[in-house]
Amino acid sequence: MYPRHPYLSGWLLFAVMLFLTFFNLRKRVPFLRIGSTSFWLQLHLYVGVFSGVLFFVHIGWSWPAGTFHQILAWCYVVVFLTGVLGLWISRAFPRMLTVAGYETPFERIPYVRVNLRREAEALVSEGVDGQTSPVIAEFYSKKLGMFFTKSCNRWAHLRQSRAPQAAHVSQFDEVQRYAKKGEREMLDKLRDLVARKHMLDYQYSLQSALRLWLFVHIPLSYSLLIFSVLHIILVHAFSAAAS
Amino acid sequence: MKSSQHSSIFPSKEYVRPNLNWECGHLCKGCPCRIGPSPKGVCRATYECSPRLEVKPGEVKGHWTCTRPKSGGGKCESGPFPNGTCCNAIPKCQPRRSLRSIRNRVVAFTIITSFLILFVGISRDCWKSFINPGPLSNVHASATFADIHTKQSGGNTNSCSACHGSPRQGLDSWHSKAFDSLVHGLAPAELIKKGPLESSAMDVNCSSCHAGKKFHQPNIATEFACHECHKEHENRGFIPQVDSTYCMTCHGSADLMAAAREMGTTTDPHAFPSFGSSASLKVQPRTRPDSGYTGVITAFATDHPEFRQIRDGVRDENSLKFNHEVHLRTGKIPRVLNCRDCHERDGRGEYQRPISYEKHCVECHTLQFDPNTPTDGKKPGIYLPHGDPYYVRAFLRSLNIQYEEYGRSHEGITSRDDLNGYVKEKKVGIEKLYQSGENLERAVFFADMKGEIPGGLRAPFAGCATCHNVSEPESDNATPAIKKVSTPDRWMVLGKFNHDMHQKGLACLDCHKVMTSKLTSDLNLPSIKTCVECHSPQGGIDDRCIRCHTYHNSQPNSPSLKSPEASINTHAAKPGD
Repeated sequence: MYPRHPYLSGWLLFAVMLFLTFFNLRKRVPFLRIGSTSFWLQLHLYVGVFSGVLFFVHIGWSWPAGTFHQILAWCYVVVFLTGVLGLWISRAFPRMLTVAGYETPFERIPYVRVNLRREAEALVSEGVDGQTSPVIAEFYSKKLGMFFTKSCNRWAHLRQSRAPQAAHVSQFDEVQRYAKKGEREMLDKLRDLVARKHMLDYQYSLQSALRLWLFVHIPLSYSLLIFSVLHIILVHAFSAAAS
Repeated sequence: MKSSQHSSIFPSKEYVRPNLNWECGHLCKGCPCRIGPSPKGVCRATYECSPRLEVKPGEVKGHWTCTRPKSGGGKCESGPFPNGTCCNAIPKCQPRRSLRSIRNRVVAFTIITSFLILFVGISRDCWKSFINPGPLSNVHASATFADIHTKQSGGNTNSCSACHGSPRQGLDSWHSKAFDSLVHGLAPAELIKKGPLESSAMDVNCSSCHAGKKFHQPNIATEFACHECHKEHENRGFIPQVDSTYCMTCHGSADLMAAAREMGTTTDPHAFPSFGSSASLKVQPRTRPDSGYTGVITAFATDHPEFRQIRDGVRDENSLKFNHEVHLRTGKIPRVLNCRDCHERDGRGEYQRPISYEKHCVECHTLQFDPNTPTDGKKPGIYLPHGDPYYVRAFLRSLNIQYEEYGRSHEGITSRDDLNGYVKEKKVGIEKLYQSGENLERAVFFADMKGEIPGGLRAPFAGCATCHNVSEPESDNATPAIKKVSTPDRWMVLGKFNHDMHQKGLACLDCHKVMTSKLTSDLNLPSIKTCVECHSPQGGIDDRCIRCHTYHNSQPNSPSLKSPEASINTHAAKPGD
């Protein structure tokens, strides 16, 4: 009915992309009373989903064949998919983090990690009855030293896997069989520190993911805009109207 | 364990600002310095405090006091050096970029990369392949097309410019061209305009090879753009077939059809294509409907009108007498026929070859008027000629010569006396059967299938009137007239049909109900309902308009290499060139 609907949908899509790309600008002008940030974020999400439909209408439900147009289309698809991923992450991960407990601000995680390490080292150095337990010291240096130094098991935590915790539990159980009574109390304390470190790693993994998806979404949004501008120039310059 | 973590070590008043570009290198160890890196990422750490000189009353030199804040551990035990330097030097670090700063750099890198991709893509050598929205059809991608374009444009080897204007003027002009089209052809008001795309300057380029664009009915209100239907840059091979949507743009619009109907009333009737007068196609004369073909159609399966032959009850006016039922049912004729015995497919598998007496009827309808001279071994027998009644009459009136020739050729009689005897014997046999020459002539022309002749006589064979409409001669010596047989090549001339394709899943009788057809005037064409059973969304077979119809009422001229060459040669031959 509307023979030039690709142009129409194209302009609409471009306007939508501009709106979506410069959603970030809203954060730069907090003094303007134009709705809350959460309202704008909701709008960003819904308009983003709408842009997906508009995109497929624009390309006529068939994948473009040319090199440039494929780059443009892939750009859009990646931005859209990372947006969907981000939407899922931003909705699901905070709930998971709350449920898991031990919530720690992302910037504080290094402090807390160092604190845990110091506590663990102090515990091991203190020893039992003033004497360092060689069994526990060896166990700490071999199995837990690096664990307390840095964030570990990032992918396992993202997959919600409990395997790393289970591995440590198993190692503790093994050591505990040969430990004396005093050493067992110390191992229990150490076990508690390891559990907290696992929870901290869990927080770190999920909070990293909450930030890292933007490393794809935002840069490619700008590429998409740049390619779109050339696309607009091309389709108009090579249109029948320009001939 | 589900409580929030509040570390006693974490300096709650000195929270890290994530919007800064740099963070202290000691942050990962959990002990960043309080001053942090400079905005340019240089470590500014020196000492834990800047000692303050306190001079008490009565003192001359005073003494240095530690100023380390409580958040940093409070005053140190050893205090500053005598020269006023803090005793706790902070080890230098290598500041790290914050997450936000890294993201900004990734953004900058991606933007630069995007511009680089564009720069390389539209550089001199590869811009055509880079911006090409899709592969050209084979014919427009061929060397022949490029050759034609080069010759027509006077040496321009850029074949994009055969259709598009912008490539002629180079990359610099793209933005101005785009702006021009934005202002004119693709202005916002144009984008929401309904109806098909109107003809544009690009069509002139199409017409330079495909001369003559008025291929459709003359009562369309405006000329439409070629690319409205013919979508280029879609895929290699043929240009994609036209979708019904484009046809429905007009044929589905009541307004446009009404306008076409109105225009048709004022258009010269001779301007419309007449299939009946086609030299290559023999069809029963037909007239264009008063309102033309302007009924609103939105889909073949829903509101396509019934075929005109069925709707108007068109009858076959062929004078031949033919009964399909008799020829196809057992027990009525010596050999039961099937459809393919008479209806042979043409070379393209679309339609049927014409039926001829010599090929399809002679086997049963032998025209053997003399049962005493039958086909016997190598002897062919003597038969009447089929065709012009004058020849038949001349044959009958020259029976002596015909028998004599037959005796000489096929009986091996050579002497004159023997030939005379042979002819006499045959004529006696004929006279016994028909009594006279007049009766023989009447029997030949007027005997029907049962050998009955008007007037009560009987003949031993079926004469012309079995199949033909024979009328009495106008005068005593005249030849009986046989109405000329005219079997149309096709009935539905506005559509095309491929019988071979339909033969794969259907039998002839599935569509053509000829087993009960007794009259020649029965067309035995299927109704549109029969077609819709398959050609519909429910049937699952393609029901696009182009399956049967062609938009262009005549094929556009195909481009050839000769025309441009000829024009170039003519141009070259001009004096003074």
